[in-house]
Amino acid sequence: MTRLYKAGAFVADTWVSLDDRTTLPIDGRAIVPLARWRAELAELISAGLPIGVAVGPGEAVDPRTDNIDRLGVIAIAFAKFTDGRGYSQARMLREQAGYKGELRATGEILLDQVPLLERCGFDALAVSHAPTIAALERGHLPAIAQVYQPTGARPTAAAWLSRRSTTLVTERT
Amino acid sequence: MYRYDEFDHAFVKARVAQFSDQVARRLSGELTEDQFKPLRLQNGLYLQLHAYMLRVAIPYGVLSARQLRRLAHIARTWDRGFGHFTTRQNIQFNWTRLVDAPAILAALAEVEMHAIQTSGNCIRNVTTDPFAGVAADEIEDPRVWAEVLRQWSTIHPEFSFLPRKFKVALTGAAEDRAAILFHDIGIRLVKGRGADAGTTGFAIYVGGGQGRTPYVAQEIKAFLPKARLLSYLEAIMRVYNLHGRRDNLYKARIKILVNALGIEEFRRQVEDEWARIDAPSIDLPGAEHDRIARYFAPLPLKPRSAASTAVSARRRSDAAFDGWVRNNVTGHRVPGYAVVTISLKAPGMIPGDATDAQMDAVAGLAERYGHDEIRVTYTQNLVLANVARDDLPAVYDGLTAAGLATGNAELITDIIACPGLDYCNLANARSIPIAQDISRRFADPARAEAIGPLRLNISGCINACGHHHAGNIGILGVDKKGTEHYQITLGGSPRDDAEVGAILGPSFPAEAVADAIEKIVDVYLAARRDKTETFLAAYRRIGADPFKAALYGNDASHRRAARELAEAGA
Amino acid sequence: MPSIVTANTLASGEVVYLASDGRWVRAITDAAIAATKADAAMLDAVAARAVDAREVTAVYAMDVTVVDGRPAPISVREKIRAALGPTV
Repeated sequence: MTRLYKAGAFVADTWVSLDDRTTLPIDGRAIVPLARWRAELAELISAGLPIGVAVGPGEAVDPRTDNIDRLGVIAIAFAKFTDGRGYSQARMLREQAGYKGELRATGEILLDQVPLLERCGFDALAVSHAPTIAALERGHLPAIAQVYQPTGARPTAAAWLSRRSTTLVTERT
Repeated sequence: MYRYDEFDHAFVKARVAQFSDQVARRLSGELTEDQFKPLRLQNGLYLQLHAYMLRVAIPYGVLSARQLRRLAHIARTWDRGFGHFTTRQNIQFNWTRLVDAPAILAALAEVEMHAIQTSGNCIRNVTTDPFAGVAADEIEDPRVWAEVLRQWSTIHPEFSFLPRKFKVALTGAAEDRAAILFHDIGIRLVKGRGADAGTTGFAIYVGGGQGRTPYVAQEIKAFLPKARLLSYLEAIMRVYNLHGRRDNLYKARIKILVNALGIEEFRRQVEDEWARIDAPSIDLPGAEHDRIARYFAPLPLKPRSAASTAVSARRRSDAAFDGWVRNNVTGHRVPGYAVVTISLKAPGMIPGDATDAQMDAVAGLAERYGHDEIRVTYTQNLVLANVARDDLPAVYDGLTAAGLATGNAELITDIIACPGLDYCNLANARSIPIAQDISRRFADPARAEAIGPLRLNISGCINACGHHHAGNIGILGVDKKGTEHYQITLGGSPRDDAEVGAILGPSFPAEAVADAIEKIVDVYLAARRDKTETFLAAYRRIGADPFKAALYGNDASHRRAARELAEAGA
Repeated sequence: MPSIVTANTLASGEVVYLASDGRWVRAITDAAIAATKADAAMLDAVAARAVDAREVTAVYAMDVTVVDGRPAPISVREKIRAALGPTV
């Protein structure tokens, strides 16, 4: 069973994941595979419904051509928690492309990756691992409050001062 | 040396708490081994042949006496009374228990030490020149930047799940004593030229490495302004993280990516990414650099007379002391001081190992004569970098009492060897008994000195933790039909003239290796122009054939050798 | 080929072998020998339960020769492991 973790709590997922063919719901809020978004770009944009994309392992959103400002959700899949590509993709989307929608991590997410995912810009985590869900429900986050590296979308020298701060900073614009 | 501030202390305390929690979750079953293993590895805890092995980080190889004493305490309390210094300037404890790991890490944290990222697919210990800060040929002290990179790489959220391990080394001197060209990223402090004259910057190299497919690193950037180091490295790491292979463990290092793309294309991708990165938020502010640099200010050593009458007198009367000074003592920037190499390679002993008593002895000498600081070399020795020449006799006597006065630095008996099949899960063959055999054969100090500088490296498997590819003589343990055999390579070099050694011919059974090495040495001694032509120089001049002939004899052997090599896919 | 099951204890990492009563022992000569595939599968199942119970980790089956009815290691690696320590 998969629960959606946002801003420190489990919330209802108001989005639905679709495959290549299923018709979008009337109110949209569908997450479609990246290939489908690209193939049906014009129609999906003109439909004007809230839409998101699911990015598989080995795939990558291209901010220059994928119209990411139209996307309410970008869901990046971690097939194995040891596959670290999603962390780079997240930082690039937040810090370079200025993506402001929901950035969701899916797939194999374990408790110890949660702080790292959040520091890279993920603001929603679709968690399936039962012990991880239980720990998050308890508020048991194994984060280290001190961070040595500036990450996040605020491109100013102030990020370096926060490097020495004792609070975890997830900076999003 | 760097001292933790409140921030660093809080960090490492929190890390200990975090790992203790992870251990508890493993023991309670909340985490399976598959889920726990990457976490365990990122805290330096391996499951080896006989026990858990804990690899403690010694950042860029620098230790205070207090820290060394704590390592001795850990060896006594939670291990079997010894530790092993590694080819990455770290220390390994071979007999730790998982349940004790949290207590050991807490004991380390008290003295500003940890085991963070000494394993796992993350950025490992950043290593550097053991003579940093004191060498006469130094351009600038690389330890400042090693500390910067240590902080930058510690639990970097983007680079904690790389395709594979990642090793960085820096040098700041004319001579590279950190083997930077065999690292994933090698960094050399250089003087700027032309428009950059009057400043120093970095030459950056990528894609070096040993293991299954050894490569010498290639230059990606000739001159990078120092202020831009972190953003440039992030660009390299990001390209690697995104495009390094994840389908094949043996093709996952950055050296494979660099060579698959070619350096031109790899550079293009890195420069593209670098142009997109928001450098001001990532590059180190000058104030932060200055804060860190203050910890590495040169010691206020009062110059003394360059020669010491006490030393000269002792050298005349004590041949062993004379040899030790000649081989293990090198010059210091400040007149009247010296850099002392403490060999952990007494013939017949285990290369790189030190007992708790020996560690305490070295700590004591560092406190009395060494300004409290010890360095670890990647050749598995220790260094006291700031010894007054007048104190050399006392240091030597202290080392003698501890069994640490072998005067064989950089000689054939200064063998670099991985733990091998005696300890390591990955090994195909034992390496320590081979090292012991060879060092006993050449134990006579006069003989070892007559041979001159010679790097001999032994690895127990193709992972090459003994750096055999970079040995002037390299020995690789292989499994040949269930018995331990050893392949010999010649002509490797870890220095500025970096080169991967070439396989000489068919492998040898364990009992024949020392004989083979003697034959190789005999060929060299017979062929060398004079005593000043080193083994490596002579090899490069005369080639492999004379050595092959000595080891394998006639044509039939050569044909068999060629076949064996072909079968091994060499 | 006859086989036995070996592992490391989870808490301390010690080399252990699975005996016929389900205990994990330090002496390889006390390990239960699986002569058939069915025997081996049974040992695997016992070992798997021990993994779940967090007693051991890194479980695997290894080939042995049988000497006087007792298992003996074949490979260099397993000889070193069975000696419970390095050769140096």
